[in-house]
Amino acid sequence: MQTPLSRRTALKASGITVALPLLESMSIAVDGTQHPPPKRMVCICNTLGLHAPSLFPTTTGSNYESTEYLDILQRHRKEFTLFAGLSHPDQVGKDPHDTEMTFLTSARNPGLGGFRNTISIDQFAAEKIGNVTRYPSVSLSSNRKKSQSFTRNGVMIPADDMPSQVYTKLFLRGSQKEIRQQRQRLADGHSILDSVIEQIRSIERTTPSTDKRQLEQYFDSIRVAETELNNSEVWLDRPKPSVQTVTPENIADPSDLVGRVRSLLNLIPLILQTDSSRVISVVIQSDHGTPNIDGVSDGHHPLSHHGRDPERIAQLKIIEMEILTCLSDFLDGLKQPSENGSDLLEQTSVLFGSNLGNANAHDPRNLPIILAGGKHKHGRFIQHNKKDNVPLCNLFVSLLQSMGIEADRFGSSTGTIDM
Amino acid sequence: MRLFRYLLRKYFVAWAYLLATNMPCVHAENDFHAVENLVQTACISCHDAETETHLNLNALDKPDVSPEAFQQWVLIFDRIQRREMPPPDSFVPSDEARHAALSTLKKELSQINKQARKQNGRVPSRRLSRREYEHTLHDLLGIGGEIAKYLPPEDESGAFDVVATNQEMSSVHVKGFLKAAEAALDEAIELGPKPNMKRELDYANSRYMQMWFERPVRRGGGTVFRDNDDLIMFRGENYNLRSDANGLRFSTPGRYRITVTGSAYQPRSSVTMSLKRQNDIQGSSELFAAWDVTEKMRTVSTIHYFRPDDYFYVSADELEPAPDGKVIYNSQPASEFRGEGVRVREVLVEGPLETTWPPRRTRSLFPGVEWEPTVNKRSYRPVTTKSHYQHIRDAVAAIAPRAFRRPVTKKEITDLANLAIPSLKAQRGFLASARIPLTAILISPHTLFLTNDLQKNKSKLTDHALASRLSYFLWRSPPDEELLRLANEGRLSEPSTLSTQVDRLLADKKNQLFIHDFTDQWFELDQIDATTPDIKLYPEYDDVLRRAMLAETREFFSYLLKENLPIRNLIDSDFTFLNRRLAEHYDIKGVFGETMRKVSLDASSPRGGILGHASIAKVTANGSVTTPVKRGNFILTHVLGLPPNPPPPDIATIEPDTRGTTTIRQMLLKHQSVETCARCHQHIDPPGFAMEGFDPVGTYRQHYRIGKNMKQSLQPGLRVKRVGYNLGPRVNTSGVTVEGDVFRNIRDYRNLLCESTKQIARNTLSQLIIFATGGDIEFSDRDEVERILSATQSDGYPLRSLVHHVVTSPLFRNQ
Repeated sequence: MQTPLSRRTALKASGITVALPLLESMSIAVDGTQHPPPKRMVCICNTLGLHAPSLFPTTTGSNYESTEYLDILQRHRKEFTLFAGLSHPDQVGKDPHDTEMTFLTSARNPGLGGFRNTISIDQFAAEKIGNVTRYPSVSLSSNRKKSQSFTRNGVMIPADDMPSQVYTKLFLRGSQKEIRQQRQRLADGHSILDSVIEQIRSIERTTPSTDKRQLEQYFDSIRVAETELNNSEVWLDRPKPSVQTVTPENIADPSDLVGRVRSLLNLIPLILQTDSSRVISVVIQSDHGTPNIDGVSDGHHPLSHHGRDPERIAQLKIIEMEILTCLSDFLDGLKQPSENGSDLLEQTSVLFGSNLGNANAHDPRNLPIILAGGKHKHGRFIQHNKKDNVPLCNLFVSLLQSMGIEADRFGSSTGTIDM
Repeated sequence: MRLFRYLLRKYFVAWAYLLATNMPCVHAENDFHAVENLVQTACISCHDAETETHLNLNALDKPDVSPEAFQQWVLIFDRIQRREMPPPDSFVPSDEARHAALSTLKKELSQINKQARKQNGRVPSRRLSRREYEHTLHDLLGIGGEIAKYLPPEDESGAFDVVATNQEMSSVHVKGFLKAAEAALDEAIELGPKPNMKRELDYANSRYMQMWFERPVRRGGGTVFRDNDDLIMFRGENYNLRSDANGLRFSTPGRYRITVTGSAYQPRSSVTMSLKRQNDIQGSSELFAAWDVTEKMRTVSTIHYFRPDDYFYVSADELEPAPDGKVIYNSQPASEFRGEGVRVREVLVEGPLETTWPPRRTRSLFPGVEWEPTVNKRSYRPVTTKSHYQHIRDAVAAIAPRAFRRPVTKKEITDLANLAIPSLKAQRGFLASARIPLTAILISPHTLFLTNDLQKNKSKLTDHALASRLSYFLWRSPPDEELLRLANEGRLSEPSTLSTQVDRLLADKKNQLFIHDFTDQWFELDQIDATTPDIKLYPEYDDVLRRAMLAETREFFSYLLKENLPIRNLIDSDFTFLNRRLAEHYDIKGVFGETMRKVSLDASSPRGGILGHASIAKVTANGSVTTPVKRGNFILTHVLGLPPNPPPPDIATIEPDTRGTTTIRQMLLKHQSVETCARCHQHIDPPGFAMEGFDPVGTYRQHYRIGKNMKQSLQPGLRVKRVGYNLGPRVNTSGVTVEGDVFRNIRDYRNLLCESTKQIARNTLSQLIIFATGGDIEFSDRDEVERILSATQSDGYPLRSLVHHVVTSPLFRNQ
């Protein structure tokens, strides 16, 4: 097992000793040299797709003719690229919505017998660049704890679905007593885990070698957990960033789809700007019931099965346009000054898309994929073969590389992509 | 010959090596000739690299090369044996050739399987699933809160959460177990002041309610009013009726008795008065009690577990709008509204229901420790008679054997108790120090893992491993004192003792956890909230109905088990379990009150057997629509245990079109015309067609409901409902099975399905074995499955007997 560098070591090695996370201090080392600004990543998945005829232009390239949906993003035209003809191969699974599990991983045949998920792109990136921030990654969900972030073992990292809890975790300073208790708790955690490791060793002595897989996994997992606990211990000493906003309120009513999405997305500029984390994933779930939007009288999920009924499509479009408006406003929110005077959006690659290309038929091909920010060459509509799709993972590889992460392959990639 | 190329891919080497060292030559090349002959004459023309099938026999390794190749050959064996392959329109081999190939293949596969078994045992050690961990902490610590939520969800690949090979482990789990154990101890150690035992939630006189009595509709008021000392409500909302805001908080976690006196207000028929719990921090809510009430005042009570961050509220369901169609919002003031409501006279809360204080759970965690109130009376503190260390040692000695499910050595106790020493030295106090070894016990591998300890030089499990397996099977919880005592005495493995214990475990109320977890996973009842039907199309679907739906299936299954009824009942029974609400939903007369009870069914009823359960209709629906494919797949996979192949990669899915011109059925006709689709869909679609008579919420329908262009209006009937649909095209429930049998509806289909009773028994038995042992049914287990089937055939494979046979089978008794 590979032990990642502890944050303390990493920080010592890089010569940063000042209190984090002051953004300026991150980019200017003690010797006064400027470091390039950090790269960040936000992956947003709208799990019920986007109505393709309203989204995809008929003309490609940088002079593409805008569409109903793209009109909403008009003011960001130079800041994003739209892709068509991308998908993950072999996504026929147990349940047609199981592709939600694989949107960021590309594991094949989700949910079928013997299926095991693989690492998601956000966690892959977090492994590489997450060790310098308080939280290696943040996973958010608009309803319930299901996320699209999966560890190397294919284990889901539960999402946060309450903005107030995220805010408290990230920005609110505990009292001295709370911090002391937390530190004590971590120390107790260490001695407990050490004792558990001793117990595993003693069991292993009497267990036949072929029956150790699970025990060994427990052993390895404890080692990783200890490292992670060490890391959070380092951060206990550092004050949390102070932000000049009030704790957001949780929206209890799941049918307020737009309100919930908006309040989650509003957190992201704060998280990035304070460098609390550089990797964020967001899931817009399919189980909000009937969204309380004017003109919408059925559930988002049922409407996505519109059966080509124009009235139902019209209602679906109302919901999707609201979601795209949230995206557009979110991109505005990222256009704030950041390290080196550049804006946050330029450092942040925003991947917005869906695991379904056509939710009416549960078709996991021809996914709607928008890449925004991150100083990529934008303003284009790039259409790949609609029948014979290019692996979405090729885009993932290019994205990782653009963030300075060494990766030749990811998931089902076969190469890289022009972006 | 190119037929079997030995492609030893890298990660298969270990496996092959293992086999090779144990069996120098399992198969003489000659033996396999019969199989090769069949392949060459009957299979290869379709299954080679050039044809578009899943299988390329030219590239397939021999079964002993890799687990994947082995699985593939098992599949080939099954399909030839069931005569699904080769298809009738192609070359059909002679019975002789077929038989020769099958028996060779069977011998070969069994041998490979048994060899691998010899080395690895049938099932590896496994950890407790997140549900089992919750049940375990509940049992060990006497608590009741939600614990599973601290752990990541289990793998959802369709198997039970206990299947060892599907279980995951990661640092997320480790931190989750740690958090869960800490939260559980927080709940177990209760040292707050003794709470006031009996309190009233006085809605009518609460200051908070006053505000809602006065507020106008547009500011959230107007849905309640006060009539003398009664509260009249027309909606049962959480924001105004929540207990915490109305002055009643749960200071400590525990079981509380809630007694409500109320009646229906200006009812036309009975209405439902219910209790709901909500937790805004955890983001969870549940309906935990519901009663039918009429104009006559009724006093009812229930006991439920609450945590301090929970609140509850009295709610109302099945309320009809006013006769003039008005709803409360446009009929103000509320006292003038003529629709149905609920009158609440008194709400009493007693609890926490404890006989001592601090509660028993805290006392039994620390045997020998006395407790006294602190000077300011705000909490209790321990009065120790021995050294703190000695008391901690006693606490460890008391819980460790229960958690580890076996006697614990002195050294183990010392090692664990010693974890408290640094903290004791640092003067952190008795409780803080005691928590360290206690937490270590709760996440110890001895607690978390079900290891398959074997008797010396035998393949049988030790009595203690057997006790754990048995209690986690039928209770989903650790063994109790009696099981542990029998294991300590070495008597549990005696057949008569074991059989007595099975009956004892089945009779205990903890068996409900088995019923719950098993049906939740086998019939996917845990998916009931995966989609929600549109409220205008299906206004009858609410929490009260949802609860009754789930109760029907669980009580039904529980009854089959208790009464040892033949397995045929699972698909065709002349009874089911209903309360007034569900009976009305099924249009069955003469069932009154909220209690579920056994009800006989007419021969003409579409109900009977689980296929007629509304819960099954609901979990197999997609929101407001149903598809025969999903339901057919459910019957094949979950009822018959013969899951169809996944659709071939890169075929176009059919895009639903509900504009009214084509029905789902017409679209599925494509399945029959395209050969590649037809091969599987001739199996999948017919059972789905038979189920099409049940709408997404399980009503038996003649017509589809169409919501297009519909304004909501009042629908007269037993209960006046506000609906937003019209009746559309007629539902066609007829079809032809793959065997060519014609059916008109679910009743006909059920009769046809009864011919597969043995297969249904085989599947039920297999599911029980998998759930009980945590290991899938493998090729060499099949003989044992068939043996049990023969032994129970004359009695019609009764369910309780199947459970007994599973427990006494070597599959259960061995690793």
